[in-house]
Amino acid sequence: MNNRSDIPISMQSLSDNPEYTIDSGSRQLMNMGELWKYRELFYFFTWRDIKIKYKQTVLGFLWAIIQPVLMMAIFTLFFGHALNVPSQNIPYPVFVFSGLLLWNLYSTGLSSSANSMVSNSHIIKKIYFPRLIVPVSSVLVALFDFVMALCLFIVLLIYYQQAVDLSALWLWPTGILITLIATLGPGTWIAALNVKYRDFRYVIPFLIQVLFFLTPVIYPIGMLEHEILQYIVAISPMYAAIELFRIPIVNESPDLLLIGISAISSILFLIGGLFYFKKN
Amino acid sequence: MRPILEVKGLSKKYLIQHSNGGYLSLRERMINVLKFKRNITEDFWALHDISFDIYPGDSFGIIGRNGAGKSTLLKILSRITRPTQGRIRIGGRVASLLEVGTGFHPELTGRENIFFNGSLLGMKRVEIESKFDEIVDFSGIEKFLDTPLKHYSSGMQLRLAFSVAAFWIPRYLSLMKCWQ
Repeated sequence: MNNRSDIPISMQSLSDNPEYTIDSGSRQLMNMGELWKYRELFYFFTWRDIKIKYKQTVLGFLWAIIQPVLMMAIFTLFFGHALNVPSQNIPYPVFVFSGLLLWNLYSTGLSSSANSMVSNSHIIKKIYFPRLIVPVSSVLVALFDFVMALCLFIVLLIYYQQAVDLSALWLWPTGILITLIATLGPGTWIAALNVKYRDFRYVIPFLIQVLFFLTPVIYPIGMLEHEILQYIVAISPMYAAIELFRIPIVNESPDLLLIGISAISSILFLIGGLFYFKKN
Repeated sequence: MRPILEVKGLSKKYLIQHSNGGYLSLRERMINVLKFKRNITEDFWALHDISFDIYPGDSFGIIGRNGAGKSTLLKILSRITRPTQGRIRIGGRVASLLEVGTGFHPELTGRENIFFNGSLLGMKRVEIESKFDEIVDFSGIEKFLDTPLKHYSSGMQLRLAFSVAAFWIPRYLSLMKCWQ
C-alpha cells in the first residue's frame, strides 16, 4: 500500500485503455473489434508457422511445389493414361493440377487448423488473445503454400498453351474464397472438438481421404451417371470451389444448381463451426 | 478514486470426473447417452464468492496453500477461463504473466522469438521495434541474436524471456505469479 508514487503513470494508462468487464455470460459470436485490435497477431502467428515449417529443410519453400507436382505426375500416369479418365477436353495434367491446387489448400488447411488448438495449447493456457486467431492463421499458412503452387500452375498453363477465359479474373478469387470458407468451417469446428475429444485427431486424415474421392478432383462430375450421386457429391463444399476454378479453362457452362448447393453447404459449415468454436 | 480492479462475488466451479480416469472420451459419452446414464461428476468450487478492490498504485499480494485458488483467480483475471458467477471490472489493460517466455519456440532465433513473444503479450510491432535494442541490451545475448533458441543455454533462454517481459510490464496493471 506504500507504493503510490507511480499513480500518474497508472492514471495515464487508464485513459489509454477503455475499461472492460469479465463475467460468466458469453458474448457475441465473433468480436470483430477485438479481432481487429489483434490483427498483428494474425500476421505473427502465420509468419511463425511458415518459418518453423521450412526450418532445417534443404529445399525450403520448394516443398510447397514439389508435392503437388509429384501428385500430378502420379495421377496423370494412372488415371489419365492407364485408366483414361475423361478430363473435360483439356490435357489431363492441367485438369488434375487445377483440382489438386485447391484440394491441397483445403486438406492442409483443414488438418493444420483442426490440430492447431491442441498444438498451441501451451500458449492458449497462459495468455489471453482471441482464440480464433489460431485456426485462422494455420489456414493462412496453407494459403501461402497455395500461392507458391499457383505460380507453377500458371507455368503449366503456358507450357500446354491452354487458353484461359478472362472470367478467371473473378472466378478464380471466388473459388479460392469458397475454399477458405470451406476450410475454416470444419477446421474451427474440429479444432474445438479436438480439444475435448482427442479422437478427432485420428478422424481427420481419414475424413480428408474420403472427401478426396467424394469430390471431383481427379475426375469430372459428369462421370457419375446417377443424378442423385451428383447431388450428394455437391454437398461437399469443395465441389463449388473446384468447379468455379475450372470454368475459365474448360469453357463449359456448369450446373449452377450443383454449385449453389455446394456453396451454401460451405457457408453453413462455417456458421456451425464458428458457433461451436465460440461455445467452447 | 475509482478502483482499477473491482472483483465482485467471484466464484469458479469445476466438475471433477470420477469415472474413466478423468478423461471424457467420445465413446464413453455416447454409451452414457444410450444408457440414459448421467456422467458422474462432482462439483468443486475452486473460488467461492470473492470480492475485493484494487486502487491505482496498490501492490496486492495473494498468499495461500496449495489448491487455495490463487492460480485460478489469476487465470480468470487474465481471461483464460471464465468465472462461473460474479463479475470483474478492469480499468486498463491487464498484463498477466502466468509464465515468462510463453510461446518461445526452439526453432526460431532469438530475434524472431522477441518479436513473436512481444506480440503475444499484446505489444504492437512498432513498440517492439522501438524497444528492441533495450531488450537485447538488458538480456545480454546480442551475440546470439540470430542463433536458434534451441542452441541457447537455459540461463540465456530465461534472461531473454525476462527481458521481453520486463520491457512490457510497467505501463499497465500487472499480475504476476511468483513462486520459490
